[in-house]
Amino acid sequence: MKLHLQDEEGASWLLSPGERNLLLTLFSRPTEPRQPARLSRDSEALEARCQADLAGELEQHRVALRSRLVALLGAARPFGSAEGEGAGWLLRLTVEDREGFLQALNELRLGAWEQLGRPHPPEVPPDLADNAPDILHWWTLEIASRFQGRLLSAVDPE
Amino acid sequence: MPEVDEESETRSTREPEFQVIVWDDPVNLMPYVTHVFQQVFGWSRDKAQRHMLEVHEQGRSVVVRESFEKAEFYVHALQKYSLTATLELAS
Repeated sequence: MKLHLQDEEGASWLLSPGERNLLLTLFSRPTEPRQPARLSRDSEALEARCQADLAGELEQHRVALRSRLVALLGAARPFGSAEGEGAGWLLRLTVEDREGFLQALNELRLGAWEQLGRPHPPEVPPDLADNAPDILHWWTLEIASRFQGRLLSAVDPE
Repeated sequence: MPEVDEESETRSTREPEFQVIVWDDPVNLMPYVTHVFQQVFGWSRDKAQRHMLEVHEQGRSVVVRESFEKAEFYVHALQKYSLTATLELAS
């Protein structure tokens, strides 16, 4: 995933065919169950006041984001010398879409991390076997981190 | 002491206040947290990084003090980015 062009309204990103397929796969999968976000740690009254609203709003937001991203990836234009035959794809993201992309990638990271039992630090064990039962979660955590890193390094260069 | 904006301090004399706290966790990446602070609060990169480091090193950072409605709005915005953010009554 590479930044192609950037303007005030957003940016165009170049995706390889593999990257586009990977993202479509990631965003098409059902969301992992997440521990409910808390509104307050100190006040039960505050927590009760808004918890239902928050949980519902976050879930709706997650579903809408993924749906939007799958649609955007599906609408990506072929790019390159062999147009239409897998040379690459041009993905246009508005600033709002980019933020949604980052949120959805982070949601994938956190969902995988929770499924892994919240390891601290969240680093792939060096002796992880190819057939480990939790390898899909490690894979999701790593892949989503890489895409997130590419987006951030282009948007917020050091 | 966590850093609090001067503007927010001034407002504390006028209305009941709630503080939005961002808590440390081992999974959100530091550049991501900095980016989220810039987006949600419109902060400069330096300010966003200061608060990110406060979260990382002290376990939490008070990012704003606001009325309930505004504080709730910010908590929801931060949680959409999957940051661990809560709303507490300012002491």
